Amino acid sequence: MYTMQQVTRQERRTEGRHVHTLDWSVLRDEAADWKCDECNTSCQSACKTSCTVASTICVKYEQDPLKGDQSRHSNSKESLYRGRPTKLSLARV
Amino acid sequence: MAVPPSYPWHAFDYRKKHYLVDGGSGAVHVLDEAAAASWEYLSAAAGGSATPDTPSLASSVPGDLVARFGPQLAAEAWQEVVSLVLARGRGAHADKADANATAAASTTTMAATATMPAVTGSVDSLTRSTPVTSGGLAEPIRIGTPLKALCLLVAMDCNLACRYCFAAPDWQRHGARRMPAETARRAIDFLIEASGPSRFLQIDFFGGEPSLNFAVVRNATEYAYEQCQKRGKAVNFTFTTNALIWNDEIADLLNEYHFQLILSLDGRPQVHDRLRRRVGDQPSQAQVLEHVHQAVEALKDKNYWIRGTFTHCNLDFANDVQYLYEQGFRHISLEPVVDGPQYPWSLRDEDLPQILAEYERLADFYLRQAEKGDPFEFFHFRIAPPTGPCVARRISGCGAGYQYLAVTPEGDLYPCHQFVGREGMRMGSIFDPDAAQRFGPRSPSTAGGCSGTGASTVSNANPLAERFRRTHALAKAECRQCWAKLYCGGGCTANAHQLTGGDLQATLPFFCALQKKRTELAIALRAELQSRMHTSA
Repeated sequence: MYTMQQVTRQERRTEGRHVHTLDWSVLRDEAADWKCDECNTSCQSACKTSCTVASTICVKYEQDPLKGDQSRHSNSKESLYRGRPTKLSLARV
Repeated sequence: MAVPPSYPWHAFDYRKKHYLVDGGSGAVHVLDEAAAASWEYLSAAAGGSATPDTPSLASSVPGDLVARFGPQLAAEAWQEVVSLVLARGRGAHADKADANATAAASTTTMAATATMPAVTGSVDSLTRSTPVTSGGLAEPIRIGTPLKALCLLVAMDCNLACRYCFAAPDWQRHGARRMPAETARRAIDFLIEASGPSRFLQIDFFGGEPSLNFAVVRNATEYAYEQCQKRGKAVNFTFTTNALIWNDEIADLLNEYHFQLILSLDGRPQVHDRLRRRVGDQPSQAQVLEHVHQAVEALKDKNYWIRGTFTHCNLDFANDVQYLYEQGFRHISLEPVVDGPQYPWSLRDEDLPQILAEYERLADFYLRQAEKGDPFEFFHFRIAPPTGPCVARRISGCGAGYQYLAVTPEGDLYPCHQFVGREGMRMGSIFDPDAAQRFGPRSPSTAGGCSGTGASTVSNANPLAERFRRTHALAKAECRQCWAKLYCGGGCTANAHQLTGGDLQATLPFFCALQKKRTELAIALRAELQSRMHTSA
C-alpha cells in the first residue's frame, strides 16, 4: 500500500511515444552494492520476514536511523527501527 | 505476444495493456498497440529470437504494420522497439545519439515501405538499465558480507499439530525442547560478533511455537537491544506465531520493540481447521481468529502479516484471501504448501492451471479493493518499493546459509529454519570457539571483501556457507535465462533441497511457474495503479 506521494514521486514514466519504461523498474546497480549488507534478509515463503527479494527496502536510500535526527530519535527504540513503512519512515516521505 | 528465448525478454498482457519485461535488466516497458504489434512481428519474424543480429532489425517497417497503423505511427513504433533490442546488444547504457544512428543505419539497408522518422521519444530512456552480466558464474557473490540475521528456534514444540508442518518432524524424532535463555544470549553474542562492521541486524523468533517459551523471547529481546545499542548497531525483530496464545504481555513487548508480527491463519474456518488441528485434534480457527483480531488491534505500528498456506484442498484460495480481507486484515500472505507427493494436501502438476487462474482472480480482487479506496497488501504483489533493492541484492537471493542462519534450542546452526534437522545441513554450533570467525566478514587480503573485525580467511570459512554463497540466481542455468530472475532471486533453496533430494542449485518448474505468474501480476498491478493515480492526479 504505497502512498500517493510515494508513487508520484518515484514512478514518473519515462517517455517514448509508443514505449514507456516504468521508472521503478530501472534497477540500481552500483559497484558498492555488491559489498553492501545493510538491507533485511528476505524470505520468498513469507515464513518470517516482511519482504521478498523484490520488495526489500534499501536502507541506504532511507534516512539513516543511526545518524538521523538525534534530537528526536536518539536512544529511542524507534530510532533503531528500520526497513518497513512505519509511521516514522512514512513521515519522512 | 510471442516470447523470444535468446535474450530474456518476456511479453505479456493484462487488462488489454501490453507489457515487455527486459529480463536482463529488470526494466519493464509498457507498449501501445503499435509497439506491441511491432514486437510481435519482430519476435515472430526472427523465429522467436530478437537479438541485435536478428535480420528483421535490418529490414524496413513491415507492410502489414503500416497498413494497420499508418506509415508514421508504424515507423515510430517499429523504431522504438528496434531500439530496445539494439541497446541490449550493446549491453550497456545506450546514449540517444548512438541509438538513433544505429537504428537509422539499419533501416536504410533495405527497401522501405515507410520512411523512418526521427525518434520522437527519448531512446536513451528506453534502453537504460544495464543487463546483469553472467560473468563469474561459479564465483560466490557478495563476498565480503557477513552474517546479519538469526532465526532463534526458541521452542521446538507446538500447541498445534498442523498436518503440513515442516518443523514438526524434528521434535517428533528428538522430543520437544525449549531454548534456554543462556543459549539465546550466546546466540546473540555470536551474531553481533560475526556481523563485524554491519550495522543492521535482524532476529526472528520462530519454532515450533515461540510463545510457548515467551520468557526467553523477552529476555533475548532485551539483551539483543541492549548489546546492539552498546555496539552502535540497529536490530529489528520478528515473531512468527500461530496465535493460539495471545495476551497483553506479548502485545506489550512486541509494541515496545517494534516487532514485525507474522500470524499463521489459513483463511476460512473449514480450510484452516482441515489441516491446522490442535494437538488433541480439535479445530483451532475460532480461537486463532479471535486472537489475531486482538493482536492486530494491539499492534501500534500495524506491522503484521497474516500468513496462510494454501494446499490441494483449497485451490480456490482467492476466497481465503477475500475472507481474511473481510475480517479486516490488510496485510495478507498466502503461500503454496511444500510437501512430498505422498500427502493428499500436496500440490500436483495438474493443479497448476487452476492456481494460475486463481492468482488472476486474486489480482482482480486486489485491484477492485484499491479502486474502492480500501487497498490491501498481498505479499507477492508487493514489489519494488520506492527505495527498492539493488541488483546485487536481487541476484543474491535470501542470504540463507551465510547472511542468515537458524539456531536450534541446543545452539546448532542451520542455513535457515526450513533446513533444521536435515542430514548434512548442520553448519556447526554457536558454541564452537571459532563460530563467529567462520561466519564473519572475509579478509580483504583473501577475498577483496569488506574490512572489519573478526575477518575470516577462505581457509577457515564454513564450507557449507561457501556453497550457499554460490546458490545465487546467476549460478543456475535456468535462472540465467529467466526473465523473472531479478524479481525472484533464484527461488527458495530449502524447497529445492527438499523436493530434489538435496540439490541446492535446482530450480523447481512448478514453483517457478507460480513465481512468474505472481511477478507478471505484481508488475501489471503496480503499473495499473500507477496509471490510475496519474490519471486522477
